[in-house]
Amino acid sequence: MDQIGHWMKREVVSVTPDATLREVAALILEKRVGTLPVVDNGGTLVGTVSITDIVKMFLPDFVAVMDEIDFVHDFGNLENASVEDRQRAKRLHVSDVMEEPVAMEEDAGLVHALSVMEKHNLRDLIVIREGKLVGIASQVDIGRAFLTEFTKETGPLYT
Amino acid sequence: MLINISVVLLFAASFAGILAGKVHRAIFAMLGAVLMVLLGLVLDFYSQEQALRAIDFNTLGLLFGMMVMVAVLKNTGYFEYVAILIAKRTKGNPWILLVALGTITTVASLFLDNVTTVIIMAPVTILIAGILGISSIPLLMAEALLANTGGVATLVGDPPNILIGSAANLSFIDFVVNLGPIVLAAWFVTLVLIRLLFREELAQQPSNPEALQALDEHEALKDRTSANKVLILLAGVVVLFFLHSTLHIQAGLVALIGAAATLFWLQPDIEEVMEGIEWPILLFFAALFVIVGGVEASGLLDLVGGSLSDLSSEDVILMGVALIWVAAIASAVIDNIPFTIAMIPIIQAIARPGLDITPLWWALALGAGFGGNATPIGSTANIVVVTLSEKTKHPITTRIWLRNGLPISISTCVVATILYVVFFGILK
Repeated sequence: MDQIGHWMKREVVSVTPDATLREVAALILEKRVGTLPVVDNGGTLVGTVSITDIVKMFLPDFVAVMDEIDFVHDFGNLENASVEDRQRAKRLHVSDVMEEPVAMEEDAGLVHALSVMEKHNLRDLIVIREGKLVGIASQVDIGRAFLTEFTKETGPLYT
Repeated sequence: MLINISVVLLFAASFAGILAGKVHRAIFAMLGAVLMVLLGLVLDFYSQEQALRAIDFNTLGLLFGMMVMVAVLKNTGYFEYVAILIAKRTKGNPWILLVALGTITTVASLFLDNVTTVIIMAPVTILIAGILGISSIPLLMAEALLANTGGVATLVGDPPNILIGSAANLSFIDFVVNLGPIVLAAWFVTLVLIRLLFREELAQQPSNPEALQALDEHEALKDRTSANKVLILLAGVVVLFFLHSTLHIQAGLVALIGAAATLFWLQPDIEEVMEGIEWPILLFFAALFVIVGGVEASGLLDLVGGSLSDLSSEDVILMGVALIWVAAIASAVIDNIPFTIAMIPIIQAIARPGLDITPLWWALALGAGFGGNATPIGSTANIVVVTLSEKTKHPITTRIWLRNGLPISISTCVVATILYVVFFGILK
C-alpha cells in the first residue's frame, strides 16, 4: 500500500500560538479549511486548532456540565451570542484553545493513517517529517487514496 | 520510645502528604496505612488483626449504602425535575430562586452526603442560571454553603458527623435534638448574609425569563417509576434512621438495608451503579482508620491524652468552645475528614469518670462543619462547586469565595458558640 506523503496536500495554512482567535476565524473562512496546524517559529508542530474549538467558546456554560439537554426547548436570548463572548474570543489566543496535535510521519501507510483518524475522530491528519509540518491530508484525501488502490486491485467494474 | 518516635514520624508524614494534595489523598493514605501496619509488625505494637479491627465498618457501610441509593436515584433525573419545577415557580427572580435551590439542596443534604447533593444540583443550577441569563456564582455558593451548614444537623449529613456518631455511639435523634436548633439558627444567618454579600448580583434582572418556562421538567425526569421506588425506600431509610437506636441497629446497617432493597427492587445495571460509587472516598476512610488505629495501638495517644487531661479543665463547656474554634480553623485550611478522625481518639482520651464529654462531640461537629465554609478547599462540596464553575465563563475564584465564605463561616461559628454555651452550659 501507498504512503500518506503521496496523497497529502503540501500547501498547508498554519498559525502560530500567539495568533488571536479573531485572526484564526478569518483564516478558516478565507481558506475554507476545518483544521489548522499550530506551529512555533521554528516550524515545529505544537498543536491543532479547528472550527469546533472556536465555536465551542460561544456555547452556553451548561452544555459543558449537563449530561443531557434534550429537555431545553427554548434557548431564548442565548441564541444571540453575547457581546461578552465576542469580546472574550477577541482577547483569547490560539494557545488558549489549541489541542494536542495528532500527526503522522509522511512515510506512514494508508491503513495506519485511516486507523489513527478513526480512533481520534479526526477529519484532517497532519503530516510531519522529523517533527516539522510538511502537509495535511483530509479524510477524503486518504479515503480517495485507499479506494484508488482498492479499485485497481479488484479490476474495472464495467467492461 | 523508638515506637513512639517512629509512629509520630509516620503519622506526620502521612497527614502532611494527604493534606499537601500533590498525590491523590486516597493513594497517600493507603501508602501510610500499609507502612503503619508494616511498622507495627516490625516493632511489634500493631498486629494485622488489630489493623483490620481499626476499620470502622459502620461508617463505611453508611457511606456505601447511601452512595448506592443516590447512584440509582441520580440516574432517574429526579433532582433535575425538582430543581426545574421549583425554579419555574420562582419566575426567575434571582433571590427567590437562590432560596428555593438552597432549600432543596439543604433538605437533600440532611439525608444524603453534601458532596453528592452538590454534584447533582450544581449542573442543573448552571443550566437554570444560563437560561435565565443571570450569574450562577451566588446560586452555586449558596448551595454549597447551605448544604454544609444544614448537613451538620444530622448523623448522615456530613462525613465528620458519621465518624463522630459511630465513634461516640450517638444516634440520629441525638444529632437532630442537640444540633438541630443551633444549625437552624446558623442556616438562617447564612442565608441572610448571602443576601447581603451578593446584593448586587441578586439585583440583576434575568434577561430571559420566558426561556425558563419552556424547560420541560417532565422530560428531565427520565425514569419516573424508578425515581418513585427509590424515594419510597429512601423515606423508609429516614424513618429507620430515627428509630435505629431504639431498634438497636447501627446506622450503617440501615443504609445497607436501603441499598440492598433498592438493588433488589429496581434491579438496575449493577456495573453502572458501582461506577457511581465514590470508591476513592471509601478507600481514604479505611486507610485513615488503619493509620489512626496504629497510632492508638502504639500507646502514643495515652501519653497525649494524659497530658491533655492534666491541661484540660473540669469545664467541658469552655473546652467545647475552644474546640469549636480549633476545629473550625483546622477545617477551613485542611480536609475535615482526616482532622476529625485524628481528633476522635484525642477527645476519647480526655474522658474520665465523672466527666461527661458528650458536649465535646457536638463542638467538634459544629466546628468541623461551619469552619469548612470559610475557604474553597474547606469542604469537598466547595471543591466540587468551584471545579464545576471553572468549566463556565464565570469561575468562582478563591478571592470571591473568601470574600463571601469567610464572613459567613465566622458568623455561623459565633452563633454556634453563643447557642452552645446557652444550650449545653446555661440551660443544662
